Amino acid sequence: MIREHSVTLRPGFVAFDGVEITELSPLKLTAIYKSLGVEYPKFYKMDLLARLGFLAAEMLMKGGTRREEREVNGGDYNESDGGVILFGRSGSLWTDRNYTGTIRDISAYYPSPAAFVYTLSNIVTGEIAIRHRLHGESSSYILDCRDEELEEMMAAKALERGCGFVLAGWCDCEDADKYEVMMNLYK
Amino acid sequence: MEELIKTLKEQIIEALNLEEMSVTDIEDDAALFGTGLGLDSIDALELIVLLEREYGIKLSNPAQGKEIFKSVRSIAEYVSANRKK
Repeated sequence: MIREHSVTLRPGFVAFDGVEITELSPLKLTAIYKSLGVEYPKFYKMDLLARLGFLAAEMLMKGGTRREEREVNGGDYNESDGGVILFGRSGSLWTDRNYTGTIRDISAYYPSPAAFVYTLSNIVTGEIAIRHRLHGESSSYILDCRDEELEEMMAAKALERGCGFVLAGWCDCEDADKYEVMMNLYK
Repeated sequence: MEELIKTLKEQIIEALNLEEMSVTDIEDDAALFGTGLGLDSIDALELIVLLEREYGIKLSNPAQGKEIFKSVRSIAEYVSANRKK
């Protein structure tokens, strides 16, 4: 198993294959999305966790953050045999809180369907699988802290079981100012 | 009616997170679902919640939704005739 690409996203920090992308680091997630030149309007409806997973997967699958890199490195994967395995600590807590905000006050009880559909921690893996038509292993796990050994073991197992490649790693979002994604593309 | 249409567009943009859009991007008579704005079933539920929250309108018959949510103008006409607040 080889680690083909890696992406790190933290507030104020974006790195691809271990190198900081200084033009992206200061940007908000929406601005990063725009800079990638992606046309996927559903991005705007996603919660924070799904947006983070989406952006990381986008960079990994296209082989970079710059258009010219993506044209050279991207599109090299048979998407149907790809898998996605993500780990995190907070699950969908951020969205759970937002949704709770729409039902807390009995005199203003207007549950938001758009928030509700993201109140599961595995929605992010589903969004990535839909976007890239990944038909292989798809799972998400809640852990107290990152366990890189476990990530690699799970990715290796998925590859053994027939996945051509696997997007795997840590994808955690406590809130808009506290998130961390360390996702890899394994082959 | 024109003012209500403008307000509805602003509320729809906010409720549905249409961050890329502005009021002028949404035509009064353009289809909201399918070929128009491309809204989906979750968006339809958000619109139902929006009508209840902002205008006190409860849609008791889901079948009505198809006609009401055809365009911003059709929503405005329905709101204008049925609003409780």
